[in-house]
Amino acid sequence: MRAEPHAPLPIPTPRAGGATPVRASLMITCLGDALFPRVGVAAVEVLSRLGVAVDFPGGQTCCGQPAYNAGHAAAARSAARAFLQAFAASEYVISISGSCAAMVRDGFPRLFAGRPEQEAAAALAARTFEFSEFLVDVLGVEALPVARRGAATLHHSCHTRRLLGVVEQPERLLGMVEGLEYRPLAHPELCCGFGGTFAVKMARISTAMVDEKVDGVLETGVDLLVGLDMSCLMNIEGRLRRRGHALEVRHLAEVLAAGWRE
Amino acid sequence: MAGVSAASRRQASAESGGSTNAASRRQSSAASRRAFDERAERALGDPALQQVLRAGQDYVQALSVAARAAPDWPLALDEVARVRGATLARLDRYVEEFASNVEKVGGHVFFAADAAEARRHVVDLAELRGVRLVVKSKSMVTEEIGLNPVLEAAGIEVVETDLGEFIVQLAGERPFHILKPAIHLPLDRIRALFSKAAGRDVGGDAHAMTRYARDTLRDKFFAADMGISGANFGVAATGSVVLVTNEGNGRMVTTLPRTHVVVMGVERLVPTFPDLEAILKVLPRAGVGLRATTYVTALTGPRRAGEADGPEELHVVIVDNGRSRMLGSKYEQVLSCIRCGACLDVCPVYRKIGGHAYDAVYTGPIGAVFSPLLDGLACHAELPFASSLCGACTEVCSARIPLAELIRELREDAVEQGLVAPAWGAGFDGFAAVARRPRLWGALETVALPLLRLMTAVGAPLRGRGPLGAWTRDREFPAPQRGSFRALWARGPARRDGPDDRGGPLGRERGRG
Amino acid sequence: MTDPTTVADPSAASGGEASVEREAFIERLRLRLAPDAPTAPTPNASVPPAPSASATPAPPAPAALAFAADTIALFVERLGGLGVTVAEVASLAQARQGLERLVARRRWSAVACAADLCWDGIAARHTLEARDAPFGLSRADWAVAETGSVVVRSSACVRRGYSLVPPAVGFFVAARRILPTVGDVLRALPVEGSALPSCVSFISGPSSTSDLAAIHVVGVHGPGEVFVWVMAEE
Repeated sequence: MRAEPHAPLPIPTPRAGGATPVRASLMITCLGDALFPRVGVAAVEVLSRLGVAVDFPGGQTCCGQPAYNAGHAAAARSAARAFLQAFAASEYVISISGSCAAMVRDGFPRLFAGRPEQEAAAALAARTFEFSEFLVDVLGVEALPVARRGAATLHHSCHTRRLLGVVEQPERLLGMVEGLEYRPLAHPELCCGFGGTFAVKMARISTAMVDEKVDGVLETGVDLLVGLDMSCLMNIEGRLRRRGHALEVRHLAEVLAAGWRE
Repeated sequence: MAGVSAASRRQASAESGGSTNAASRRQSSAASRRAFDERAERALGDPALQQVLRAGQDYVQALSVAARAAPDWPLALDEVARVRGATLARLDRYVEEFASNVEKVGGHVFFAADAAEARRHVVDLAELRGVRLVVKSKSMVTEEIGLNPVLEAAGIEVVETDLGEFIVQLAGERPFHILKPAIHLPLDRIRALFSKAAGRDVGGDAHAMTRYARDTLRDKFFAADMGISGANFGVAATGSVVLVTNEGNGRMVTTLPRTHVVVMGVERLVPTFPDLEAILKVLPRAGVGLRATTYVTALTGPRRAGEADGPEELHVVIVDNGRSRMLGSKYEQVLSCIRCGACLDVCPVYRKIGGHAYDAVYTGPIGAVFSPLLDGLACHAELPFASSLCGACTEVCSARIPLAELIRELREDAVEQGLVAPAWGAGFDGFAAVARRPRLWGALETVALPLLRLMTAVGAPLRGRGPLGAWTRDREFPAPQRGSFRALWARGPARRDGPDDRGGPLGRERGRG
Repeated sequence: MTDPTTVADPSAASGGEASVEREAFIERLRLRLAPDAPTAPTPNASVPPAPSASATPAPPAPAALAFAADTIALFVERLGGLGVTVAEVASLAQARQGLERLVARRRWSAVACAADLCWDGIAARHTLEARDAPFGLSRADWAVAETGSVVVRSSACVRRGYSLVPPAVGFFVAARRILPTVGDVLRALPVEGSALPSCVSFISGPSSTSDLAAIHVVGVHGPGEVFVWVMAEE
């Protein structure tokens, strides 16, 4: 990812509307918070334009997924507990990462099974959504005033696909972008090789996996790779750049925000 | 690498009574890890193997895609899971029922607590019967208990008759895949193996090579004193042993020799024949994309009075070897496996490293769980970590085993058993300590982000070095923006504090600032 | 290591030591499972249906479906897909004639089959021995339309070898014995082990393998050629 210009990015204002807006909290995720604020900004912008009143509970840091997946349940639980508290008052929680949403929906109930936080975990799981899922399934978006010329492919991300069951929602949203041709990957279900600590613990295998993913992306001949999860995109883009390719890589929210026509 | 093979580690661990020294456990698992890395490297650096792995997976996936798309497929998987789960829940009863019914039809049953007992029983029986030649049809359990070397040490010739097993036996290798043992070997290598054994060139055509194998093994089938097979399933109600095969060697091995020995894991049971319906629907489709394998053979006892062929004696060796430990544990579902191989056919890691890298009898996602449970996690400490937890295995599993979740659970066990370098635990504890404190988190970001910007600005000289080295060895690291999202949010646009927006939807952030 | 000659014959009736081993083995399982496990096995207990299964109607009795014309048509179609040579004939007599013509055309020196399946037309070539015979004939006890399978039970007359050993094998299948699914045959099997023969074989096409570098080869250890005559009347 190229470095951004130095001016702070503005937080968009919501579209004026009479009806009571849907209120939702943004789950920025630890990675999004530290390395990809622009994705959070884009998500807030798109949601605001769609009439969602977005807030940002500052108590959120990390849902504990990296620790959980690596087998460190106690550390994961500790982070997850704080996470539960941070979103306790949220009506909806919208995550810019499918795997983090999956951590809340799938991991939290397991982490807190038989513990005092069990109910709170189930309650939060019931109100947590991945970004594209929220737009299509909750807001019922069927058209968007978004345009962008070119051809794009989509990396669905494993947890988003398999734990959330989110597959066609991002495809539908991309289909709403005027001028954008969607070309699916030949192997859309194939893991990009990130896998959290796997990318570090089993680096050689991880690199071989991301190479196959990059080859697949390049084979489509698109000029844009879209994703729903910044850990996957960071992985794929990182390898793309090291291999010398300038192909644009964006989170879906960024594509929608950038192409929005008033 | 004899010293670090899984088999020798398991033996060493058993002989020493299991090491309780944390440091020596970590040392042993570090050595095991190095060996794994070497095997993985070999596989990754072999372009022909990479091609075989990719093409193999794509091919089987293409074969089974129609079956998987059928509307009743998920119901069939649910039914398989239900039957297997219900059997395991009462396995003690079904094992007793099975054994007594085998005996009622004239078979003999031996209960082997472990591999050594199972081996000893089969060898003793072979010696008592004066067996000189054994023909075997595919059985992973006989591989697991290490039967062949022990028979051979007793001066008995053992011939694997499943074509893939026959090939790897000639090559002196381990099976590469649960269903396709020799899939990693190119045709010309097989030609060389067969030609060497034949003392002549068998030709480069697959059909000619198959002809050679058929003719050679045919003589063995008719000459053998004993046939040893596995069992895909045992039917408790009737004492029947069911084999699911394609080549016909399973039928030959269990029909022609005078003595037939079945070696089976204790979990391979179903209550009745109708309970096999869903399994027989799913297994061939998931495994090889067929509606049915060529042969499904139900054997009930040895030949009956008056029957003119079939073995005179049937012996069933029921093997525990650690399976009972899995019952009633969080891993119990792994015993539901019907050995369809589907998880190997979708795993993105197996796609890169293939079966030999696992150094275990059971490989792929099922092996990543089953092998550590059988042999002990210390013998296979790296296997649960050789996964990106993508969940493809869970998605395809014919018996609805949540393999990815079990792999993750094994990681928790590995951490608890001290098999993971302590730095990871300390690191995650530290991370959690910061994650609980949003203000500290924000403050650390303020410090860390400029450092990251600096490191990414330096770029190439830092590749593979420093805190980001593990990442930057093969990938570019994204240059962070000037501030974190929370810092950005806290600043916000100037008019946010204006009179129009007070209390509006983008009001001040909730929670601790 | 005990002296093999003093080891108890493993096939001897289980006495003291063997049943202690057995008890210990079963006990190990029992301990891991629910504490209130019943100790007496319930004979022929099938797995109780899942509560949600009530929505699915029980499959119709096999006999009612067996003669359905589309069942036969599906069976013939599936056989073709497996590379089986299939002929639909009116009667056993026609099936026999068909086989006689095939034997003559292929100049097969012998036909291996059970004595009660033999008839004048092949008596001269008939053998009871499957080995060395170029062709084996069996009568199917059942067939399965969905998978193109024939099902053969072994018996005093019917050797397993007739459908296994020769390189080419054939089956006479009465149309009324064709059942729609594998499950239908499984449900038709006797529930007592002693009522079952030592071998029941479901055979779906010729033997094959893809183990050699993923190349599909037909005819491995089992027969490479399969012929089926579907008889409208037995």
